[in-house]
Amino acid sequence: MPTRPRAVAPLPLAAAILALAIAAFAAAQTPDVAAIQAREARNADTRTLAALERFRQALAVRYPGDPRLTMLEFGESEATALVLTSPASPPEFVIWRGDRWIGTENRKLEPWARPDVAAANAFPLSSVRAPPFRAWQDAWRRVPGQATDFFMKYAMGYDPAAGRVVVRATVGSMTTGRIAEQRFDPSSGAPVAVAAAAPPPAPKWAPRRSDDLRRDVGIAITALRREVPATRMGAVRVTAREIAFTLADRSTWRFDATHTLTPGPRYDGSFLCEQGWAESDVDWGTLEVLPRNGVLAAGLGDDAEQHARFVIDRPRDCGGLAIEVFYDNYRAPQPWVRFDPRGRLLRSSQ
Amino acid sequence: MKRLPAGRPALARALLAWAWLALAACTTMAVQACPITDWYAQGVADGRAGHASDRLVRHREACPDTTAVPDERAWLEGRREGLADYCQPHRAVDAGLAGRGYAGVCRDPRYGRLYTAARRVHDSRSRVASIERDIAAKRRDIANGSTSEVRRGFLRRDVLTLESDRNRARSAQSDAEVALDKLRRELGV
Repeated sequence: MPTRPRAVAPLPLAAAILALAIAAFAAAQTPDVAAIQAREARNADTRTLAALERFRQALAVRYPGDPRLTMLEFGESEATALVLTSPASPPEFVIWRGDRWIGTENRKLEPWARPDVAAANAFPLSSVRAPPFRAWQDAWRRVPGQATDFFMKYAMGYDPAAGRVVVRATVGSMTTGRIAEQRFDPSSGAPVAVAAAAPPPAPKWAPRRSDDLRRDVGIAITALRREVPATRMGAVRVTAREIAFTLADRSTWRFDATHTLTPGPRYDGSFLCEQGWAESDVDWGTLEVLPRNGVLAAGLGDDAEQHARFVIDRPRDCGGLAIEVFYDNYRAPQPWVRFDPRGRLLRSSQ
Repeated sequence: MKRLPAGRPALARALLAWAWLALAACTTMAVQACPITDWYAQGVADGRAGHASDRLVRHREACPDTTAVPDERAWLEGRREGLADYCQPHRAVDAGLAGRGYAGVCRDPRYGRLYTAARRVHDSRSRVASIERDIAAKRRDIANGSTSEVRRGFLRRDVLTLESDRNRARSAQSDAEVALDKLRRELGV
């Protein structure tokens, strides 16, 4: 028996129209958001290359006559290099931050090759030029899904696996949350394939899927930088269940256990250094060892380790950046231990 | 630029050398010892001496060479072992009675209570001894033939006041000793 077509009920019809409207709106919005993210990423590239140029000029002033380098590493806020001042002596380690030289105490930069090999393959400062970097960035961003990626840092030196001087760029993928290293030729920007290369060292922000967000700070920062590529950090609070970002412009973001980043209300309090700080100022890899070090420093019970939470910020008078570890299994006033951004103990409450 | 008068540069150099030596004496170890230090053993020693964890900062300052920085984890683990020895309650009494400092490093709350009680005994005994030294000095002055009668009068009045102070201090000492004994019995130390 032929079935009679059912009449379309008014309510589902309205719902269908609404769904179509939302889909159309989303379709119209998504490219815009992606375009904004891509533009912000390009702005970050420009700032990083400008920082490289300032570092090049500072090096040229400090070491006249095209000095030779065994290693160079730079990001948006800081650049470091190993400069060969004479063939017989070890290279001089220098750090340039913002617009000045800073001390190298307790900092380290090592070439990828043995020191003698690195010295034999040192490259002149004049070979470090922005156009090949820009060419590589352009090519990278043309690949679908990579236009919004975040370039964390660049390192240049003699790579034994490649048998030549290369640049290794550390790239945070904005679509997968993964961090990877990419090699390219510093003279042309062309990718360098290394067939038998040793696996790259595990990035300090190696993403791990776990319910404990204290191990996922790298993923959270990558997600944050997808939304806000350039604004400096103000404060980062890390607990097992949530990572809260307050940026120097007072915007706030929350990264939860589902790895979702959501904007929060603007921070109106006074406990913020508005100069902010760069995430590259912090050795995020040390967060893993600090709960234990803090337990030992403050003389706490071993079970306190799993209750550790972190606050990374500068005081409101914009003093030094510090990592503070608090232990939530204690009642207020909770014990705390303060470390410097490299994870070195400063003091504890007990 | 102003020149120092002749002879002053040598004095300035001597002062600088003295300042340098004084600063060197403040460091926790000689810089030459940094690369060969067993940081675990150093931590044990520092723990046994009751040092707070910020002692590590001073070690770091004493070892500025980046190749010889303290192994923080090893030092902290060693210090924990040393503190297990230092923080025995009977040592709190010894430390307090001897007037040694306490950096609040022991987890066992008995240590802090015993130390405080014993330190109170030490401080009250010191107070009594200090007053007795003052009284003895003034009595020597009184007995001195060259002291004038007017001054002797003042000194006798001072001695009377000091004797009154000493009686109060002895009473406080007695109270502190009783409190310490009571606490020791209560805590079984």
